[in-house]
Amino acid sequence: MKKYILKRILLALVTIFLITTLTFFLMYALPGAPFLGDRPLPDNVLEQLNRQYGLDKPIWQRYLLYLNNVFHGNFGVSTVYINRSVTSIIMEAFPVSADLGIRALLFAIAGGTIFGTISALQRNKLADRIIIIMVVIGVSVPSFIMGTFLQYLLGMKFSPWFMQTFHTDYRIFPIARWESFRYTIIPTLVLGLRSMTSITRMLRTSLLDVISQDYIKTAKAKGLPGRVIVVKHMLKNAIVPVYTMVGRMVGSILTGSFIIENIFSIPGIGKYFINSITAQDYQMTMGLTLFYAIFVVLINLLVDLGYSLIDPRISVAKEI
Amino acid sequence: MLEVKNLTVSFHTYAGEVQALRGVDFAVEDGEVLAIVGESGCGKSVTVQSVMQLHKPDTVDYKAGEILYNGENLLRYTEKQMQQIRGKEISMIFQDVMTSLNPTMTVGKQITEILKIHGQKDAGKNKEQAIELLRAVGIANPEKRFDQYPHEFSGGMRQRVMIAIASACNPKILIADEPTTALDVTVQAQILDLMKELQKERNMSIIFITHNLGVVANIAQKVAVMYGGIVVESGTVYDIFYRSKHPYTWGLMNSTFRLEQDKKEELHPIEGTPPDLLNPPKGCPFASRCEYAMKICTEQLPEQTELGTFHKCRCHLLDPDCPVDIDEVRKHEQKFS
Amino acid sequence: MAQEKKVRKEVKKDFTVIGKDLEANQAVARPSLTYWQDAWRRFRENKLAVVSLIFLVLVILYSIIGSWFFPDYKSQSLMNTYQPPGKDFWFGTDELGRDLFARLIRGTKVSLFIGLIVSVINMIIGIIFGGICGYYGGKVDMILMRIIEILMVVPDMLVMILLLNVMRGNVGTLIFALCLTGWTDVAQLVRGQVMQLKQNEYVLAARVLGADSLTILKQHLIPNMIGPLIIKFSMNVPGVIFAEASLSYLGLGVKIPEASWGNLAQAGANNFPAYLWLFFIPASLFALTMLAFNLIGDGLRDALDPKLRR
Repeated sequence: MKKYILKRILLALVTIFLITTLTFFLMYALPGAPFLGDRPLPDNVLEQLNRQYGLDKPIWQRYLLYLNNVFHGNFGVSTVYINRSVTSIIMEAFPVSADLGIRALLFAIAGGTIFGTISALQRNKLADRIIIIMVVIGVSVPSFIMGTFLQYLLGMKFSPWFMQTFHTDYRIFPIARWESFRYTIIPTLVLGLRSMTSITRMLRTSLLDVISQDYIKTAKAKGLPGRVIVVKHMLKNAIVPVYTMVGRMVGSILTGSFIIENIFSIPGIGKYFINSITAQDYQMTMGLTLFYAIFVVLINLLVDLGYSLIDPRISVAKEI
Repeated sequence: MLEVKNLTVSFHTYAGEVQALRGVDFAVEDGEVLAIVGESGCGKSVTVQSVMQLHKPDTVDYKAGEILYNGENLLRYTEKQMQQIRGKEISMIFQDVMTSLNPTMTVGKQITEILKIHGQKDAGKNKEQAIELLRAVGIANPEKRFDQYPHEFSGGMRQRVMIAIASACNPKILIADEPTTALDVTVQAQILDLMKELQKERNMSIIFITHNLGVVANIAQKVAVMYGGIVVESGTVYDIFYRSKHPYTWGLMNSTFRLEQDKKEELHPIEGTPPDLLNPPKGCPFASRCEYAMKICTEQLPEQTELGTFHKCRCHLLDPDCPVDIDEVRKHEQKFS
Repeated sequence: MAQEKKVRKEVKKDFTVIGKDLEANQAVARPSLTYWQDAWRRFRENKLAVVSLIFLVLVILYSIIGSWFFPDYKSQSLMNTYQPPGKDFWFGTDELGRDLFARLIRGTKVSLFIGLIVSVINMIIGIIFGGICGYYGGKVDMILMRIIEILMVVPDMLVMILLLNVMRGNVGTLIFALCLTGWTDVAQLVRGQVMQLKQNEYVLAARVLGADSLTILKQHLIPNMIGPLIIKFSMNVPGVIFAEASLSYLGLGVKIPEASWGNLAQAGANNFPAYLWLFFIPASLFALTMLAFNLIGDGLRDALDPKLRR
């Protein structure tokens, strides 16, 4: 068990180290110096900046400096927003993105568990078929299409109709921004949809596999009522492979939120991210990407460690 | 106590209707051990799982017959009523010891669970009783074992745990579906002894499914031989071992090694394969593999002939109009064995 | 009793001894089909998958034949900006007066091309990588698997963004970036299969009987792996197209004036909701084609999975 945990931690550290290195050398390969933006800076300022960021030093020193910076949570400085560090932008915008991400993840887990269970238990019946169709649509339609479409349907058509019909100025589904709960509904749904469908699909497969296992027969032969069998014997076993997926999902939800935030004008990291790409603010793009990569690796590590707590077989099996 | 009459069960699969059972009859009395014998796919497991109604409700079709437990037809019971029967009145252990325990639940929990569901709510008392049960089935250090997971147990130990679970509520009938098949020979004997001991101690009835005739002689008082979804011959152990009248039973005997056997004799396997129950033959299912098959055997399923109080057999050779003398045939057969 | 005898006599009984008939015994009632016949039969039974296949073929034909008749997807015409769909421009025009019909044809072609080529490359890399891991095992396997693990931990999208941010280019660069991580699960699949097969008793038996590696590869490995690989491929193509679209949306994918489903939908979203057709037409085709891909993939999985074969 200890050996397993140690191994996972080591692997995570190596991964973070490799990504950081890759980022550094990619940036080094970039055409032009990092501070040659659209507006040329005065020479003395440029020199000072260069010294401040160690750009006058040989590459290996700069590499070490970069590693050191990242280690201390310094992800570089924006070349467009003068004097703003990537870290300060993360501090400002990440809470919003995290809020959206956590909502979407919770929606995905809750929805996926419910739909996956219903679908497996009602195999080949109407409910199952409806859920499968929903899953295929969720997998097939990209989030920016789904987002734009729902924004149009619910935000621009349904809400005004609702307001008119019921003579109220309460907008159920605002088109954009991030203020109160109702602002979060559509973005959360759209962002979580894809993950929810993958959980549904995976849990269904996993449950169908568990249902045909002998220990379910044992449980039934004991005289346990269906509810107990489903919760204690089926779900607990079926959830294990699904759970490993949640770690990976954090990654896809984060990158997905880049797009969603943009569609709904949510002041999260996504906005800065897309701006940085269009404005060719390389430092910023790289810094944000690196931050997210490290974040995802750490989340995955946590999931891995949690995994060994759920399934007693892992702790023994993986040690060998 | 338990009587199965003309049990006819089909399964609806995507390939069509599988006629798994086509009129199965047997009875188990108080404190008696009945062995159901036959090749794989003959309907042994389907039969006992029908008694417990463990089949998935959307594919199974109980077409005819009844399962009488103390005079009440279990097939008429609702799922709720069945839950009161399962584990408490009739319990069951399975063949594959590696997969029949829940891998993510401690062994102790899996025992106390059955106690709790059948009305014993006191957790402390349940734990005590579970540890006692583990001790009774021969598990050393039960206090420590109580909190362990199934993967920490060997195959034989798991089957002991299964027996502890199955006997926890003092059921009247224990169904054992090939409980020793997946185990090492030495462990098999231990498990058999344990079951015999429990049976005597608690005066349980046991329905013991096996394809091993040696095990049958060891544990059972009565035997039902199944083939192709019907019981071809049934009776006391003596009836089956020394007075059997069905060619399939002879075939089973001749393909089993027995201690009293002359070492020079060879074992005679039954040639061919069991019938496809998706499309069962019209007549006797054994006809195509039977040395003594007659025209009629391929046309008509033989009726049951009563040969004694318990001894029953389904074979056209026993038809009073049949010109072949069954005893002559039997003698001929015994020359081989 | 008397009555019973009567009934008995009415039925004619033929007690001629015929003995055993092992031929009849072995005659299998079910028609025996080869793996592929059976798979095809099951695929055809899946109506949704068949309809999807037909739809996909139509989309491919649309992109190929269409590009002969509407090759001009680039020319701007400032006189005809934002024309709604009509007689002159079937699908309308965009903000620079480019014909959406021609652009959609081009976009379909580019997206499908990227999806196919990247998936093929993913397959090839994955098979080689996984094959080496599975075949050699030991140290080689351990090192290569660690590499795969690292690649799998970091979201594909982030790696692609990192690369594309530096190597801004067009379709070629994009294909390179998409190929970077997509092969890992193919490699894992192949590795698992090879390892399992190596330990299988029939392969051991073949080896004992003197079959060389090539024969084992031909007779055991490929037939066993081709099903899962086809399934993987059919799922990989829409995945790649999906990734391309997301990258294009972020501004890192296919760049205008070149067209792809992703950048057409993105351009549509930018003009949304003022010019609905610019969004809904490409988005619908895109979504429907993805739906078709996924349904075909599901159909293939149900048809080819040997576990489902009864």
